[in-house]
Amino acid sequence: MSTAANGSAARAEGAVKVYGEGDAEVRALDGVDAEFAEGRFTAIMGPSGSGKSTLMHCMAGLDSLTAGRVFLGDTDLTRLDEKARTRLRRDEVGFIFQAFNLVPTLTAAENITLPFDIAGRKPDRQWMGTVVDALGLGDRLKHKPAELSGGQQQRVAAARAMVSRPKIVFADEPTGALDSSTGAELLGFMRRAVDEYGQTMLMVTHDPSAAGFADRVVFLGDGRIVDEMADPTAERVLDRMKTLSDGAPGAG
Amino acid sequence: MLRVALKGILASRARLVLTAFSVILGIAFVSGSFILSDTISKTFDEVFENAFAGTDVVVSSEDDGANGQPEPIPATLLPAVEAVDGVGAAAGGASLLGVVPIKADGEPLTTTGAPQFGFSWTEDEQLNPFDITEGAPPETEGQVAIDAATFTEAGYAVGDRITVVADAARQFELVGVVEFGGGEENLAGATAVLFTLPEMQRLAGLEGQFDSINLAADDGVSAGELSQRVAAVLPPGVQAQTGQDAQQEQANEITDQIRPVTYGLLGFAFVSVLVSAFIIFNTFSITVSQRARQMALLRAVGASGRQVRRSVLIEALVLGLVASAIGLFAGLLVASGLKALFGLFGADIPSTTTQFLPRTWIVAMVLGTGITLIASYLPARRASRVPPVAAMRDEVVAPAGSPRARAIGGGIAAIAAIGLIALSFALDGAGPILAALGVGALLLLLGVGAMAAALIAPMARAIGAPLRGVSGRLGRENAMRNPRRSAITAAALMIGLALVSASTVATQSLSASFSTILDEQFPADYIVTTGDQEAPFSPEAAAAIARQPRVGAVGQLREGDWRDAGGAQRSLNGVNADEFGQLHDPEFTQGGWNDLVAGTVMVSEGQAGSQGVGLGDELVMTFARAGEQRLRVAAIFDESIFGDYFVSLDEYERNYAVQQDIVVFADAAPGAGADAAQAEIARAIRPFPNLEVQNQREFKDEIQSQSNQVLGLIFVLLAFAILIAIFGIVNTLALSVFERTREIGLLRAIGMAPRQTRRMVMWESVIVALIGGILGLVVGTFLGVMLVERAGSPLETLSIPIPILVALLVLAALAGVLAGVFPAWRASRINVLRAIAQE
Repeated sequence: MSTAANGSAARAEGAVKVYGEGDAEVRALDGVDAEFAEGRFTAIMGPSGSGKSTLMHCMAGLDSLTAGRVFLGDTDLTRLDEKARTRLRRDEVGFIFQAFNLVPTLTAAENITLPFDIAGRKPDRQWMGTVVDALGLGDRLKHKPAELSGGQQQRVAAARAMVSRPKIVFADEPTGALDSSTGAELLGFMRRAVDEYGQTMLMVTHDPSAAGFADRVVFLGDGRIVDEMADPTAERVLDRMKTLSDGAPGAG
Repeated sequence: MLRVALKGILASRARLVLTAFSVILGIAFVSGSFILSDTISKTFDEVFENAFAGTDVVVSSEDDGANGQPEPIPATLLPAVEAVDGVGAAAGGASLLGVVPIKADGEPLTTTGAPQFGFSWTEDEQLNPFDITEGAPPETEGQVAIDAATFTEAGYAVGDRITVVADAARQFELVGVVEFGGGEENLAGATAVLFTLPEMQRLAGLEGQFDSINLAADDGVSAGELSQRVAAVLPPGVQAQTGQDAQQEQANEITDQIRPVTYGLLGFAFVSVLVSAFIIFNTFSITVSQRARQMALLRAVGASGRQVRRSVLIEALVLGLVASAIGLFAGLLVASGLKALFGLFGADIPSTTTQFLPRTWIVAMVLGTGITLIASYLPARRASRVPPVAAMRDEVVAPAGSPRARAIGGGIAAIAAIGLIALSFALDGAGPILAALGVGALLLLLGVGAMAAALIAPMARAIGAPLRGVSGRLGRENAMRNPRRSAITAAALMIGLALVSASTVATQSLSASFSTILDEQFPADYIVTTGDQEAPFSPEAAAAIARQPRVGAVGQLREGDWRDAGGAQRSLNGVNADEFGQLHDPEFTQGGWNDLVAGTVMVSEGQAGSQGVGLGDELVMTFARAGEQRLRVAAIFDESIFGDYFVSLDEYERNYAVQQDIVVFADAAPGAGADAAQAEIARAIRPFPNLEVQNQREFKDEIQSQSNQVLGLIFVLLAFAILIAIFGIVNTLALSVFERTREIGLLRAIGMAPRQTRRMVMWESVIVALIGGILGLVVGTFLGVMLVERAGSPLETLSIPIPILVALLVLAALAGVLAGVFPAWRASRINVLRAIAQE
């Protein structure tokens, strides 16, 4: 699985998102320009209210911008209507949320193939086998979510996010509800998905050790990109965050 | 805690409005049924009050005579009664049923069921219930007055020559218009033509006789005192009642007639209330479990389990009170709706001021509030058992009873129900049988309802098996994920559909049975009646028909009342045996039609047994007019649709004063064309505009269409229960959708289109509705079959109308679609971002 590592999987141009009006106006995104390269694992970090989740939601077509543009590949999301954005989420995007990722009435296998079922298509059995094996879910496929541990549930979510070979997988605090060793296991898998299969990943997190698994970290503050870091480690990220929260201007 | 409860109510308005709606509908039906039947009773009370205003004592026969009408008394009683000390005024009166005015445009003025009277005009002003409003009273032969409503409808003018059909069509001079005392334009929808007394007597065949003699007392003599004095001079079989007693008696007779309607309406109303109890129970169960964390928090900060329970019950109390009050007043609308509905089905109900009695208030408020409290008690108890520590947990579920125990309980109830229904086959008497069947039916419905939770998963799987798409599959899984919730929702619909299908089987079997009996017993080609009025008519009609060349045998049938040796009131049929016998086969076991001559009676096998008579024995029969008679039993037959006793017309004429037929049957003459013979009969009865001729096929069709009408009426009345059940589905689904907000948000996030989301909820709704529908059809058909089997004669042909039952199933599915619309819309409108951000 080789991909052009320098192409752009997603990018934001002057992204602005404003909630409310007048005194209650909140600028969740205040002119964000960012590019996320194909086949790379990017983490977005920042304190609560920095706009990191908003940025992800807008990039993923879950929310719309007030101004500016976002692209997924060559598609300008800001030009799509809700129907087209729904289809885009179905076909081009994978999601891993912090929790409640799974439909409780469906088995693990059914949850994994859900995007195909929604689209009314047959899943690629071979690729699904590969993903399931990689995640060690082979013996859990017939179980309902309630019969799975938290880590297993998140791995099923990851499998679902990847099984349709999306252009990009968005992960929103995927380890937030897991203990550290289970979380590391999941992040390890996400890392391997990028390295071995060229999957593009974009992860929102506030956990420096999670960010340490990424190729690159983008720091957000008050709706703007305040810094970024290549080949991060948990310690460096932690240091940088301390600096940022002390109010020192970043290098980016 | 009161404040917590009230805040709880305000916080969830939409849900409570939906729940309240089910209570409102049920209570409105109860209240409306009471209002309507009270209003009808009041109307007739007023009518009779007016009829007997000014009359202190009424002298009349103790018993009824021909065709269910009072037996007349001899006119010679008048001077004897007048001579009694204390009688101020006395007037004899005569009347006749089936007196039809012909409108100015030549069409007969007929009613839909209300009687059409001829009355004699009473000279004495105090005793006369009518007031002249225009023109003058009839004074000589050939003059009539007419009631104001009929006058307007017929388009007459005073002074017109009008045609009135009494014994036959005759011309009269219309000299006056009357109102009923008290300003009523007519007698509760009946028509009244007033003749002079001698003319009325002659038209009714009552020369030298009166229906009754009305008396006014002298000043200072009480009605009670006068009635005693008068009674002393009367022969046996004739009674003197106070005006008030007579009025009460007639009003009671009407009340007895409308009582089945009242009970029927209330029965349907209580079914609706029962269904709403299911809905309340379900809603409270769901909301209690959704608010389990809040309850746990209350417990954690120190509220006792009792306080938590009470807060739920207070919520139920407020809901019950408000909904019952609204339902009580909505009953006014329901009452007028029901009245219009009956009108639509051919039963015009007269009405006076709407009667909104305290009893109606009390029953509506107590029933509505009570049922809400009872239905919410279990959920409230469950709420009180949420442990305080649950406030700290992630997933909070209020503890629930074991579905297994419930299914076992339901199974026991169902078995007991079937036992009760089986027991009804061993019981005697309508009361105990109906009680066993009724309680059995209720128990069966509740039992199956309780078992339904165990049936949900297999049934949903089976119904949803053909569904391939993701929406259908998810809908099916959602229908199964909370079996108790789906079960109660489905059970509510089941009750309505069970009763609909039981009624369908019963009414269709009834008309099928009737058709079979007609084929077996009744080869007559034609039947002549007054249609819906079921009024007696002149024997001239039969004579005119018999004169037609293409007509063969002409059978006449009259009815009459008598008392047996034990004093029980019975009825008999007077027939012209020679010709009637050619048209009706009651399956003789001994003797035959030829043996039925004057001085004899023929008796059904069953009645011969209970009267203890056999062939050749004498049967003691007491008649109002002729007194005790001994008639020899000339023949014994198996069974007749007309009744258990027959006498010849000669014998009938000896025992009853009024000679009118109630039905005439005829055959085509051998070799005559069927249509030609019918045309001749139609021509022969043209002078009797209220008569109609039907051939056997038309008659059967009419029976079928009447039973379809009854079924239609039952459907409409059960629509309330079904509507409430549909609201139940809406409510449950809306709550489920709310509960699954995050899940639906997830589905939308990963690419499910709003349309797919809607379809998912829709399928869940349809599956739950179909489960209710199938259970209802199965239980209802079973109950219908049991009812028909238990009823026996004349319900002998069981008919299970598959097309109607299939249509009902489709209806259930449509109910599911309808119920799914709102929750599906809500689900598709869920804000994805907010849903997935929800913690």
